[in-house]
Amino acid sequence: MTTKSLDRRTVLRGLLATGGAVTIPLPLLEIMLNDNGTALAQTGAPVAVPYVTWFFGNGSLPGKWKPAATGSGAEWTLSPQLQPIADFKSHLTVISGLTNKCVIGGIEHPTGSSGATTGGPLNGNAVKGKSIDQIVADVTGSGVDFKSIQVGITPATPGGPQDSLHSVSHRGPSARNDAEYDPKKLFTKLFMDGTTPTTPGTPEPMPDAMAKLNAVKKSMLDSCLADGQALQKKLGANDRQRVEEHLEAIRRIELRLQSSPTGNPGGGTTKPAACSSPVAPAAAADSRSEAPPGVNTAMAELSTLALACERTRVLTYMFSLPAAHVYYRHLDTDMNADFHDTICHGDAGDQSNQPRVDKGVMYAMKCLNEFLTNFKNTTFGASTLLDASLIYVTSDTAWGKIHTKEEWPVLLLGKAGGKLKGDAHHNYPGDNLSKALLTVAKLMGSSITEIGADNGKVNATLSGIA
Amino acid sequence: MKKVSRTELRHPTELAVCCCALAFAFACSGTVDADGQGGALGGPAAAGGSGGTPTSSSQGGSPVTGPGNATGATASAQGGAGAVSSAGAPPVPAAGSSGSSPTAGLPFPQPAPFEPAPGLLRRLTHTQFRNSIRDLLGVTVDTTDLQEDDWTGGFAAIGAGILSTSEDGVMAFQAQVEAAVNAVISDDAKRQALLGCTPSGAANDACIQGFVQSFGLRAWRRPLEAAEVERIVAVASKAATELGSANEAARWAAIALLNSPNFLYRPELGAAGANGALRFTGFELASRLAYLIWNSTPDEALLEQASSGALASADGVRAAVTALLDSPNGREAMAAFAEEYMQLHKVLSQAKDPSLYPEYTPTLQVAIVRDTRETWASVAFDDGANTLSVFTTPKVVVNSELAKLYGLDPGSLTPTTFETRSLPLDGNRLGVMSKPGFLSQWSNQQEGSPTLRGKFMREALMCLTVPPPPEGTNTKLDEAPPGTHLTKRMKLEKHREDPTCAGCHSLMDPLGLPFENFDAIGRYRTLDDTLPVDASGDFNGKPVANARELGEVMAADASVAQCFVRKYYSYAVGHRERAGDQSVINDLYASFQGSGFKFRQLVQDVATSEAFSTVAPQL
Repeated sequence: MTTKSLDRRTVLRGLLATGGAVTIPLPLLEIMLNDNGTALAQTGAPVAVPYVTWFFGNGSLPGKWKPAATGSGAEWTLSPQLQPIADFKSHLTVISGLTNKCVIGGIEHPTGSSGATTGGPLNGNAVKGKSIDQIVADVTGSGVDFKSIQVGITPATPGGPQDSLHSVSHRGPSARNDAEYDPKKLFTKLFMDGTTPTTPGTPEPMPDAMAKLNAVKKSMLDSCLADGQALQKKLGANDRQRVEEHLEAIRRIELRLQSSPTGNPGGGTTKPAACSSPVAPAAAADSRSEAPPGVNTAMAELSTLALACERTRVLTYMFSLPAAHVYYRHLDTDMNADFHDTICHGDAGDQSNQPRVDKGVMYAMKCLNEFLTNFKNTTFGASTLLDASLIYVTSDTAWGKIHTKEEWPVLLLGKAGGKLKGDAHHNYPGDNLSKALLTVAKLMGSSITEIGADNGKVNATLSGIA
Repeated sequence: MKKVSRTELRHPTELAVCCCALAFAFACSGTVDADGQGGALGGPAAAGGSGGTPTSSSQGGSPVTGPGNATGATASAQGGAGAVSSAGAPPVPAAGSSGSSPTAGLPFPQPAPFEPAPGLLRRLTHTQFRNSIRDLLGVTVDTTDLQEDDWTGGFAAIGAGILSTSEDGVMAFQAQVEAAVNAVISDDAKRQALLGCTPSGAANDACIQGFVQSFGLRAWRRPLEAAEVERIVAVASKAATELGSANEAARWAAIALLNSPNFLYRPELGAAGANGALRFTGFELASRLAYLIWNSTPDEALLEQASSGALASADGVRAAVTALLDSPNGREAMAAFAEEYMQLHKVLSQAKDPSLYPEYTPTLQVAIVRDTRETWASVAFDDGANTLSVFTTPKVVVNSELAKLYGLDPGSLTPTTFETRSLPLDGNRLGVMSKPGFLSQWSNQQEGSPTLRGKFMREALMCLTVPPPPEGTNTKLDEAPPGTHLTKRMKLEKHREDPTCAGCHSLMDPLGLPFENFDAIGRYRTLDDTLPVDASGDFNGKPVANARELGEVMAADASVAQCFVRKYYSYAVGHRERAGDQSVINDLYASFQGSGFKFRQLVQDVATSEAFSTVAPQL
């Protein structure tokens, strides 16, 4: 077997079942790495840790969520609501006891969401700072096609005006990254050159023609950049930044044009199962606010591909949105009701015993299991995508019924390329949830020394995690 | 200029703890506009600085002519909705309002003087993007994948000055722009019509040069500077050369113009006039007028008026407004506003339980939006009627599906054809609040919500607030024990008996309960959980038996007319109401009232007001 190093730009070309031609960068293969698998052989650059925020709305039942014992290995066992991810105990770090100090009465879900992802409350409808995925993307997001990707399973929402109800990925105030809810559209974006509208039946341009077309597109985009820069000179600071956001997006689109793959220099012999021949998903987007299992299956697979193929290194997976008015009617005959209003708030029971809430939380964790299974079964460098990644799991409330802010649900999954040991339960009674965010940021190589705003502002990490 | 924070303006008692058990379940999930829009900015009580009462727009003791009542009803009774404190104390009229005051009957008894608002950079809303591309290229684009509008302040027209565009958002604009341009350039006749000449492909092609100047003027709503023309022409030349076709020059010139921030954003920054104060330039004003009245880009005639200086005078603006209102798109002045005011965009993305509402289809959802927006427009433009008569109009705009929902004979209608019809005057519903555009929106997938319906009424139509609920409340509603039945009203009564809950519920439920005759998609019903519906409630202290009576009361209530002016004003100027807007709003209201509440008068007055033409520097 050859040990010649392959360049990361090497790509494969395949043909979809649908007939559409696709060009896909190779996944990170072992032969691209140095001997111990920690850096790229050609450049010596360290392998970036893939990052995921995995968010589910409406919280848990804290009495069934928190494991009884702390410790590592045999010292602790899974709680009932973590049983669906029992296969991944070796890769699971449970963090309990934290309090979300950003929660404000009357707007508990929006501030719970912003606290758990940005470390701050809200200013009007806007978050006060970047969410953790975007802080990570500032560290690892360059050199790949998409600085970050946002995926959602159901658009079910209470429809309030706060940004933090509609997404948990924020580039800053009033700068949301909304999720893509349609598996087919996500597939197109990831693998069908989403910068160009695709016309069915149009023959694919030859590489030379493609290069010329891209050169024209680049000149068009350059013109837009120049327009924007001229406009910025007339604006105050806020609006100048808004235009800057737009121009940064244009620059990233330009970069994708320039790195647009050409040719097939024979990488096909080591084609990995994970992403050499993606098949367009069949599942249609959720149109009934019910988070169907088929959408989770499709999105979990596409998310795995997006990270394994290094289309992006940062992904936000919104299983359900904060306060999602979701109807899990496919789960059981008694589940055809508004999960937020009727079930979480309305059902009798204490925080260990709301049977219908339990069904919803268990469903979310089963879907997390499916997501993790894909990661585990996908090779990434010298290990699996699950070993390589860091996945931060959280919600917008602890117990949905009365919006408790203590015992916030926080899980870390994956081993972050060896930085996390896994198989542990740490308890930090009453400590600030934002410390978990700063811990994640540090694990991901960020140089920030504090995170959050107002009551959520911290400058310390959680001790003993990594 | 001292900036007054919302917290300062918010009346202290408004912040008093007020438990709202059911509202809580909804409000805490974010249906409250937490940015403090609505009454938080100062209903008159707050603005007037009176002590001791929650915010209320009631001008206690100030007789005003009811908008729908020529006999001069005394509107806004004391003790109206919103004046109910958690302690149950009777409201006190706002200080400074008395029958002899020059501001009697106006929205703000002690208006702050006008101050220009800082300039804006507004991104085109979904609808504005679609309409602008339609008017520029004759192509209707799909806005489904565009980044969501921002609804801060209750209007996309305001959020447009706040939100930032994501990378997905930029990609979605580009995809739609390219698709629209391709549809024109690939069609010989359409391309010829757009260009008016045949491109040669040469580097200094006069055809392309002229096209960039003329189409650029339309797309950017101002003349291009020489360097800008040069830049776009360079893109065009490169395209012609690289891609080997003269038509590619036109294609990529158009794409470059429409993907530019100069098309996608509307800078409204002003220029210093003779006295040094900032006024909008003629071209900025032309855009403000066109997007206000057509919700679309200015046409050549309006741009010509901008260029000639005709818009520098109030007379010139008045003439332009008349022409815009008289054109076929003029009714959009009301339709587009109503679509945002009533939050109709939500209808298109809301699901309903398919087992309960099999008739709730995508075409019915489209019809629901169209019915409400077109009814507002028809009352204002076809009838030239009192704006407030929308609350009593029998008018409906229906396709076959909506006709059936209303109990009308669909005749030859189909799901995609529409007719304006009239409901029976003695039937069970009249007015826009009896339409599914309101009723289905403030419902969950299975049943209507009196609380959410009442909350929208209070905030959007009365410009009052609902205090935020406290933390940690158990919101469990009693369910009927097996074998027994409870109407929604009964379940709510249970909570309203609890004094800690009543404070908030009394602000919302009496406004929402009159709609109990309508289910989660707006179908009429007489039974709820097998029991007869009791649809009684009250508005501003006036008892009503059902939604019909509620509509009649609203149509005659000055506070509704005042709130309408306040909302329309903030929509028109593109920012939330500030203290410095109060004197303008008072003037607008006085004229609106004097006209018999004619919408065209209000549009004319807003467009020619100082607030519409002057601006402060950006921060």
